[in-house]
Parts: sequence; structure tokens; C-alpha cells
Amino acid sequence: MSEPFKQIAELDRLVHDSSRLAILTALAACASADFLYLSSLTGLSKGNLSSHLSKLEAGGLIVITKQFIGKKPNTLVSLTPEGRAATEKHWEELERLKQYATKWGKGE
Amino acid sequence: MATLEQVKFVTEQYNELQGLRWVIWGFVCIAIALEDVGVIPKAALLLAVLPLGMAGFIGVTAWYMRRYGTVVGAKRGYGPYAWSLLAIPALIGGMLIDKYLGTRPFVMPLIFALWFLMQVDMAGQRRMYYLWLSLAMIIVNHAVGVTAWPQGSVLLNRTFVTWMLAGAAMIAGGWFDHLLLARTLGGKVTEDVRTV
Repeated sequence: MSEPFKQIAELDRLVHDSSRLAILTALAACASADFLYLSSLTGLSKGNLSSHLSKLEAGGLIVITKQFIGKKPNTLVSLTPEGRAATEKHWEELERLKQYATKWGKGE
Repeated sequence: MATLEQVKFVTEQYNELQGLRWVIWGFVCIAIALEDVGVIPKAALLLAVLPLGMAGFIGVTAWYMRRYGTVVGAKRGYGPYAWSLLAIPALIGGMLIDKYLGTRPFVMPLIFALWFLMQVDMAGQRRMYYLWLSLAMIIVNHAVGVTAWPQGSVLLNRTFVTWMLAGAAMIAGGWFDHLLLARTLGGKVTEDVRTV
């Protein structure tokens, strides 16, 4: 297998899913965000978002904290250090793949 | 769904993009301008407009939280905080300098224009409307200043003109910010589907 395809095959699928990558990218830009914000941002339904968050939590990439603001329940989500590193690494890999693709397009 | 660049930008700038708060302050600026030319009594400005502005600001902030959620500790450096803290003393200082220099405010419009320029994300070419608003403010302010208005015209009152222009620019900029936020966060909720 040639190098770019090997790299594509090696991408972390837990991170690479478009919805999960959006969630991780948003969380990498802040300390934490609540469930409502992530739902507004991704356009995912509550069920779908919960499912993605559970997978990310199971993978050790995020921490979910449930709390009450007054009488209202609030779910706060933040990246773990591993999650932050995985997101950064994923973006670096995507950037490298983009460079490969550009070279390939030019026939280099 | 928004692009990943938009996701990053909006999350980083979530608090700044809550533009309806600036729309409210824009109307407060216009009320200050109207008070300066005697259309609104000073008591009404202090006892009604300013408290209503504060209440509106708090109410709109709560509405954004209820509508779009909360982001804690957005990573955007200390620049916006530092500038927000400096803006009020800078404006008061500008007003005092202008008062000392005479009837033609010069420093205050520049401070307002600079504040608008600080909102522009030059690298990402987002919020570029603040660049145009700051330029428009300087040009209109200058144009009004060099025009020979008839005696007694409110446009001869330069403080009035500056506050009116700043208010109008805040309303326009705040509205554009709100649209940017609403377009990015107002994505339609998808159907529940099995995730892989």
C-alpha cells in the first residue's frame, strides 16, 4: 500500500467520524462546553449526540460532568489530555494527507 | 453542519458573537447622543435608558445561554478581555482630551474605530464587516465635520455625531455578529441514526 493510503487506513476512526471530529474540534477550542451548545453546533439530535459522546467517553477522549444549575440539569463536556492530544494528532495527520494529495494532484 | 473551521472559530469567539448585546449598547449610545442635544432629559437617560440597557444586556445573555448553550474558557487569548477593560477608561480619556482640545471630537471617534477594528479576524477574514464599519465611521465623521451645516443644526454638535455613529455601527456590527452565530449554531437537528 502506498504511503497516503496507508495513512488514511491508519486514521483513528473514533476521531475521524465527521460528527465526532466536530465535537472534538469545538472542545479543543475551549475548556468545556455544555450538551446544548454541542447539539446546536453539530445539529445532532439528543439521542445521536449522546451516542457519540458515550463513544468518545468510552475511548477516554472526553469527560462528561453532570451538574445542576439552579434546578436545571446541565451536562458539561470537556476533553481529557489524551483527547486533546488525539485531536491535535488527527489534525496534523489530515494536514499531512492534504499535502500528499496536493503533490499527487500535481503529479510529483 | 458548519465547517470545522467555523466550529473552531465560533467556539473560540462564542461570547463576542452574542451580538444582540451590542445592539442594545448601540441603542444606549444613540440615547446618549439624543440626551446631548436635549431630545431626551438627563434624568430619563440615567433612570430609564441605562438601567433598561443593563437589564436588556443581562436578559439577552441569559437568552443566548438558553438558546445555544454555554462555552467555558474559550481559547482566544487575553486580548479581548484586556481591551474590554481598557475601553471605558479609554473612552472617558478620549472625551476629556476632546473637551480640552475644543468643540471638535477627534480622539473619541478614533477610539471607537479602533475598538471596531479589534473585532476583525484578519487571518480568517471573518467579521470583516467591522473593518468597513470602522472606516465608514471615520469617513462619515470627517465628512460631517467638514460640511458647512446651517446654524443650529444638531450635526454641528460633534459629540452628538460621534455617539450616533458609534451607536449605529454597534447596532450593525452586533446584528452581523448575531447572524454569523445563528447561521453556525442554528443547524437543523438531524434524525436519530445509528452511529458507527
